[in-house]
Amino acid sequence: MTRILEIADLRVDLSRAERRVSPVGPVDLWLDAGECLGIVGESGSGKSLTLKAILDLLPDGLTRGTGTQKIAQGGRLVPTDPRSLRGAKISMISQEPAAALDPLMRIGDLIGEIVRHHSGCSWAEARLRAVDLLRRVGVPDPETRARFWPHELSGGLKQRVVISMALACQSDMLLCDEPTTALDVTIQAQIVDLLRDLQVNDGLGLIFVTHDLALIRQIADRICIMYAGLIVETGPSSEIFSNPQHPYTRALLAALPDIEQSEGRLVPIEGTPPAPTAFPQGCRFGPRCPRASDVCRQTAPALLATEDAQDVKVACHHTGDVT
Amino acid sequence: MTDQSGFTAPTEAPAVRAPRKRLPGKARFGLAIIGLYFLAGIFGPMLLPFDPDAANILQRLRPPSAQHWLGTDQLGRDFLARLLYAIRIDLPVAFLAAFFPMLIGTALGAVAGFFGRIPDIVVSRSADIVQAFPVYVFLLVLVFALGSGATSFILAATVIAWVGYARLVRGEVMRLREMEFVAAARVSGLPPLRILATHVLPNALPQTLIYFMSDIVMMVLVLSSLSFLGVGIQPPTAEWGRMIAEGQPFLRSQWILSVAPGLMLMVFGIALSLVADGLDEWSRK
Repeated sequence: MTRILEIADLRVDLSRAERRVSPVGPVDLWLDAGECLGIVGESGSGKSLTLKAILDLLPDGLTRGTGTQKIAQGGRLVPTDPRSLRGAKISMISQEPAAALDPLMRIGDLIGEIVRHHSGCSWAEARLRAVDLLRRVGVPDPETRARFWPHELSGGLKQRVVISMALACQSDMLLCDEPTTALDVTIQAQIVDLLRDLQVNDGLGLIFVTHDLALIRQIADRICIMYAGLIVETGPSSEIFSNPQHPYTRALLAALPDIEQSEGRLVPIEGTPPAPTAFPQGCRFGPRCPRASDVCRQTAPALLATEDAQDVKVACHHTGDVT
Repeated sequence: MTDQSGFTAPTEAPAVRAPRKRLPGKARFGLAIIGLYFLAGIFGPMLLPFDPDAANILQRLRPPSAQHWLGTDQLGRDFLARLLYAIRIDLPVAFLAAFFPMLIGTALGAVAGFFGRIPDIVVSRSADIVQAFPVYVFLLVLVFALGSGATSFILAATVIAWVGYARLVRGEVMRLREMEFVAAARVSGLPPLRILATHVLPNALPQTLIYFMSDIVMMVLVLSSLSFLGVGIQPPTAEWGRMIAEGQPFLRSQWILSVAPGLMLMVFGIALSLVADGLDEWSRK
């Protein structure tokens, strides 16, 4: 597999804080061509910020801290300015497809504008390509719909249009920020199928951010579990789901309803995640962790490979301990 | 496309368009009145056999008659002809005196709101400076310095009135800048100025146009006020404010000389306000 993105030490900092406050990081990420990386976490765990930081699209008040970002170019990984990646190498689709479409432009023109910008072709050709793109993302009757205004489309169709805008950039990577949260379940399945199809057949690398564990299990090849701005466990999807190591991951999976076992209550995680200004010393999950000991309260655990599975990394002092 | 359960996806529905939004009745009523003003301004003077500036001292202050439908003024000029000729002055001058500030104010406000930082500081502080002066005093000084007449009025209005547009557009652009679709355009790699021109400004346009409408009303009134004070449009050119002023001494005998131009101003103002209000409603629907 060819590596297409490698990020080391990614941080997101509050711009106007007296001391350095980092809601996210340091985080290491990488992505191979045609792979789907899932980033899972609670609200406020910093998963969306991580995604936005990759393109330096952070909201006001937050800045991208240190960290190097390398991108595949001509077979080699080259350090690149995040802003120059927008549209060229990486595109992004968001939670709210309705808000991502300019209400004053017909969807064919919205896509055509991007096609034109990236290929420099004529408007007439851009329009034809826009129709092709709409067809490719499964919009029925694309010739007619290209002349529609965004408000004339349903939520599922809007998200398809947003995906086609991302495809219009001809990027190698697509960042998906909870792309299905605003859609109902049947449409959700269709959009996931579409993304999966683009990943498998076109070799598009996906980074998929969500809090939906069932969904991520379906789509992701590799998973990062985030808690309070840090990755606490990462590894192949199958490993994580079959043999979770970190207490937080275990707790997350225990909080998931299981259709096979209708008996027994779901186990919630006590407490709430800490605010970035009040991250505890030591392990950030410590205060909510059933296994926390003195060492957890004093030093933060590093993200290390486990003994039995080399491609799984866990940030816990008690990895390997018997539960 | 079918999912596992075998249901046909609802996206297979035929492409049906949503019905078009109709402009509200009041806006159409307002537009009709403005249309009448245009017609009266274009064709009225052609149909009337009078020169609006030709004085006939023997015929002065005549009451309405079959020949002079609204009578004559203090110099014996046909009053209806002057009233209609004034449309050709008041409307274009007021339009331009609102249009140029809109161009300049929108451009400055858009740059300030979109880029922030230094452009924003420069534009916002300049706006503060202009606004620190009372509008009429500043305008009088400028018109006085530039010399009276339509051109200097438009120039003076531009110097002052851009501020309103700049503030309005700056605020709108700052709001729109944070919208998801602007982020989507950024993600697509479109250059900032292009995003500003094709995605941000068009969305700020409705509010700007609505303000423009009410600004024209404002400018007609300002122009008449200045002419009333003697520094706007110079006699003998027919202009409503000037006519109100000239009719003043005869308010008891020939009240129509002041009231008619006043009514022309008022109705025009109401019509434009109706259009602005209707457009506002329409853009929010």
